[in-house]
Amino acid sequence: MRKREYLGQLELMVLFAAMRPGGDAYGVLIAREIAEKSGREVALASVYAALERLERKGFVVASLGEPTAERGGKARTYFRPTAEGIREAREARETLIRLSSGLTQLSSGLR
Amino acid sequence: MIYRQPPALALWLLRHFGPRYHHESLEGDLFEQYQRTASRSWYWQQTLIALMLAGADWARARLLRIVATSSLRLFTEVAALLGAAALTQTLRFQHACASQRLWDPALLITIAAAIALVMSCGFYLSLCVGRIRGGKRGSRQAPTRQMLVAFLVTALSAGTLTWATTADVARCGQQPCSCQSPQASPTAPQTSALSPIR
Repeated sequence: MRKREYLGQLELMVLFAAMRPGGDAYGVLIAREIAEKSGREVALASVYAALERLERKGFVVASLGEPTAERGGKARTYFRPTAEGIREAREARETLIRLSSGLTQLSSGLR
Repeated sequence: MIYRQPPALALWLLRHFGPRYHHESLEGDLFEQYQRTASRSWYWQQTLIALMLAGADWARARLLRIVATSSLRLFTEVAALLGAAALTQTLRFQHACASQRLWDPALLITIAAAIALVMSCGFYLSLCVGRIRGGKRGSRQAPTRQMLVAFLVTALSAGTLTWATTADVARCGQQPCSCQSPQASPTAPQTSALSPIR
C-alpha cells in the first residue's frame, strides 16, 4: 500500500474547486466556487495557504498570467490539478462515499 | 477607468508582513475583489487574516530554532560560570600546594582546560555580539550550530576543571601542604582557639 498524503477539508474543497473551471482557476474564482457550493465564505489568504500546501504535495501546478489594470497591475496565478492531484481527489471522494454509505443518520435527514 | 485604491496602511502591511507565497497574486486578487463588491472593512479583514496566517507560519518555522538557541545560551552560560568557579578553586589550591606539583600532568590538563574555557567564552561572546549587530546573513542553521560548538567546548572544559579541582582537594587533604593559611592546611595546629588571647 502506498503512503498517502491526507488532505484537510479546506485543501480538498480547494482541489475540487481548482478542477472545476477548466484550467483557469485562480484565487478569486476558487474562493467564489467554494462560497457558492458550500455556503461558507473563505478568506483569500486561506485559499492561498491551502494552494501552497497542495502545490508542495504535488497536487496542483501554478502558472503566471499577464498583469492587468483591473488587478492593480498584478498578474494572476492560475492553478491546475496534476494527474496525481486528480487521482487523490478521486480517492478521497470514493473513500468518503464508502464511509458514509449505509449511515442511517445521513439518509434519514437528521441534522 | 478609475479604480478604487485599497487602504494604504493595509496594503503596506500586506506587502511587508503578509504571506510570501504568490503574494503579488494575492494582492491582485484582493484588489480585483475590492473593485467589485468589497468595502474597506472587507479589505482590512482579509489583510488581517493574511497577516495572522503569515505570523503562524513564521512562528512554526522558527519556534524550534528559538527554543534550541535559547536553551544552548542558558546551558553555555551556566557551564561557563561553573568552569570559572572551578578555575578559581583550582588556582587557590595550586597556590596552596605549589611546591609539590610543578609539572604534574593534572596541572597541564588544568591549564589546557582553562585556555579552552577562555577561548570558548570568547567565541560565545563574539557570537552574541554578532547577533546583536545583525550578524551575517547566510545559512539560518549556522548560529545554532556554532552555539552548540561553544556549549560543548565550554561544558567539556568546565567538567575538566571541576575534575581537576576535586583531585586537588583530595590530594591537598592527603599530603602535607606548604601553605600557611590555617583554613588550607589540615595539619595546622588546632590550638589557636584555646590559646590565650594576647
